[in-house]
Amino acid sequence: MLTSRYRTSAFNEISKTLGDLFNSLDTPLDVSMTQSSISNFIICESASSEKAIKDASRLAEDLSAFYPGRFFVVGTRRQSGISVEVAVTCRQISKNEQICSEIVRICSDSKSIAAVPSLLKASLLTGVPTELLIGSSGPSSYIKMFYPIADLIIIDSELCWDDLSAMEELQVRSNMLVDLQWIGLSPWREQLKSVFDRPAVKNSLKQGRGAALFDIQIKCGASEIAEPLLLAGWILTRLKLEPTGFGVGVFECIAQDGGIARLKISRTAEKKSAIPGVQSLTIFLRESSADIQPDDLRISIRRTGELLETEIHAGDIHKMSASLESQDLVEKLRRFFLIGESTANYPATLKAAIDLSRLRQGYGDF
Amino acid sequence: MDNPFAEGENRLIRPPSTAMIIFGATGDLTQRKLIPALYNLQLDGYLPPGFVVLGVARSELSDEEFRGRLFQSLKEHSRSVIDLALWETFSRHIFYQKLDLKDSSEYITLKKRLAKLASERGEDLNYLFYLATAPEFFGDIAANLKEVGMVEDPISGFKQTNIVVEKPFGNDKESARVLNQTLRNSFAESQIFRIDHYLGKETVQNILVFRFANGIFEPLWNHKYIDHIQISVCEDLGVGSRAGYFDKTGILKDIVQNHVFQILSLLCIEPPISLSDADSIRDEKVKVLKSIRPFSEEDISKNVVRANYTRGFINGVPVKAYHEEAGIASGSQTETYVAMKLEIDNWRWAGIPIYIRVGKRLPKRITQLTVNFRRPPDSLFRGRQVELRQNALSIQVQPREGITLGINSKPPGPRLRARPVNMDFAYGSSFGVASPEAYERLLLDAMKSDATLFTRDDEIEAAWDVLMPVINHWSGLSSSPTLSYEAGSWGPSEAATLLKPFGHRWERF
Repeated sequence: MLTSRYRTSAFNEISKTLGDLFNSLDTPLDVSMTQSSISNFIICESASSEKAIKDASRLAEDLSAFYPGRFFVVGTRRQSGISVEVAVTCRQISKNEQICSEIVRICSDSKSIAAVPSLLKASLLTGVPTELLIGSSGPSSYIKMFYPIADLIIIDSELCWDDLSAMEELQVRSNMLVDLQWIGLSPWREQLKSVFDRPAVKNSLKQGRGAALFDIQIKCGASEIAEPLLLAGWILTRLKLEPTGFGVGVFECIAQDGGIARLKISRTAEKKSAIPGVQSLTIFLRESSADIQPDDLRISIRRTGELLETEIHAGDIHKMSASLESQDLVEKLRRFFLIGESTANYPATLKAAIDLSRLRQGYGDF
Repeated sequence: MDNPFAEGENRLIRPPSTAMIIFGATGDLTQRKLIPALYNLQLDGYLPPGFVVLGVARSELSDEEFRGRLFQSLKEHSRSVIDLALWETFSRHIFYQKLDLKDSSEYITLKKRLAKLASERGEDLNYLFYLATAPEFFGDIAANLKEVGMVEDPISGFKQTNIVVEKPFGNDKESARVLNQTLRNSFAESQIFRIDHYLGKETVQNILVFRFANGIFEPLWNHKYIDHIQISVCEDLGVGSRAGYFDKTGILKDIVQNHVFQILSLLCIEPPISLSDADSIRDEKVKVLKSIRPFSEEDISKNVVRANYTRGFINGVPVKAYHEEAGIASGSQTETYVAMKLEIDNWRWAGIPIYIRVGKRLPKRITQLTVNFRRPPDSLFRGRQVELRQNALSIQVQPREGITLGINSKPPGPRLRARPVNMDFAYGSSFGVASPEAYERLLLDAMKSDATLFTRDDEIEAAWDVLMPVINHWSGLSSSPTLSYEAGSWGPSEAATLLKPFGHRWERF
């Protein structure tokens, strides 16, 4: 990867300075250089520190390796006024072809912030989508100024669950949200889907049961909240279960056919689990309203190191395993942009997760 | 109840833990394509943690010896640079089992070996049987697997057990039908994956996305706006090491029956009910193949040209004539070049000529589909210095994957003129990533039991139906002899004559 030095630019000369930088790159004769124009990607940091800006710039370079485009790194600083610096970063995609991304770094003091969106609007590549990544400090009133520019808002909802009203505010925009916690859950969703793809399991759902009787148990690490709530929300929406009450650590849910389901979210005994997030998921499909019986269908998925191990008790015992995806931010974004992660179920999931949160408000931690 | 967790979710990214059992594991295909594809899937993190590759062949080899052979060929054929540490991890998933394909008792040993490998991994493994053998072994292998209980019921079983077969899918309609029946005696059609590697190419898959995800083209995708279509599959290579096989087969059966008809059917299908259900797409492809107007004797004389190459130059290097290649029968009439005009007799395509050109020892390697749109009325430009080109949408499958739209544009200057220019999309420079090899996608899909990119029995038979009159005509006494063309040319002059009456000409590459 070849990245130029950052060069200061006048506000109205961002594109020209980028063009000059691109032309001044030291290019081998037999290598063609292409400037990418598939997206605008804004990384917004509200923490006013040099380190936050540097980290965001490095993130832009890392993302450009698989998602080339024009990157904007936007941050705040104490120094007065607005500064703009630009750089070009290129990477070899074949023996004689390099693809180049552009990075525009805009820093502003708190007084000048209101002018920054206008700078971005003037410099965005036209006709391609604009993605906004909310940085490590979470959404702030400053960052919200950029929402109208974005087609997609990428956020880590773990930063927001402490404040239910912030989540409700995000829910309004849930159709354009990409929640990194949701992407982190994708191995769990895939594994559960894969289990129910098995004819033997699918058939056990078909076998003329009366009302659905599910028992769902989720265990998570010591402090996190987003992953277990979203996983629970997704399972409830997929099984068409509506949470109606909370007591003694258990959510009561009603199925469309009148069946009752119980959902329990609890913390693992270990004080600090090696990898945060959901540690295990168990789903029982009971034959009757009595307590769980040994013959009931039981699906148990648990995290073991870098694997998800699954046991299915459906008459016989079957075992499956799957890899856990990396929880690294760049890796999650690579999966989203390069491989594709569905967010179709996210709005309904988020709503269910907020409903669960409301029900247990005032009860303290899980 | 359908899977409640499937709706709205992506198809699986990684397949469930699977043992891929390759029959004919010491052969060329395993070394050139299958193992490099699996290695790159491992590199990109797509393989499940418990996957197993069990090579099966007649030679006496240890696991280590088998791995050693694969490593040598991987260095030559992998699209990515070999990472020794990754190979070390990857190779621990590879095993070898000596087996006489026709001896049913040896399949019990195979079954036990797989059970042992699964138990060592502590989980159930799906089975993907990959037949990289000559087709005459397909029946025995399938029957023996069934007999020893290695084929699970797709409706009630827990494991998925699928079988992958390579082309040729028969040598004519009847042999294809027999082959299909032989496989179906042991496997359900839903468990049979007939691989056509063209369908694994990104650009070929992109045909569906391009057509159905862009509102601007689909309204024009019919006989009202399209003038004609050309499909060219050009190779600069000769028959090489496949001479014996090729001389018995010819390029019509080797390329047109499968690759070209697969591309053609995707290019011309009606919108399927769903893109996530394999049969929706395949149903529509069959309809296209069944709508191709059958060739009459007269059509074959007028609209089909066959030829083989004489001596010439490719890229400045002298090359032999077809008849001088080792392994070619003297006086062989086998065609290394076919050009044909066909029509699809349905509402959308009625009257639109579709030209197919496939050949070896042509000036360069290129596979391209070109959709030529009708010309606008040129009255506005009459008498001016203009060269109005038909708008042409070109989808290049190889070597440079991408799409180009040819338009007419005014060159700068004081006069109102028009010149053809291209609007260009190339995979590499647009998405910034190299496309994976076709086998990577197809192996992954077979492990996931996703048959969308695999050919169904009725597709195979419908494709043979189209070509049988040509094959029968050529084998008859009344057929004119195979023409010739100079290696390094674009084919015989008769191929150009074929288009002339309709005012068309082959696209120049």
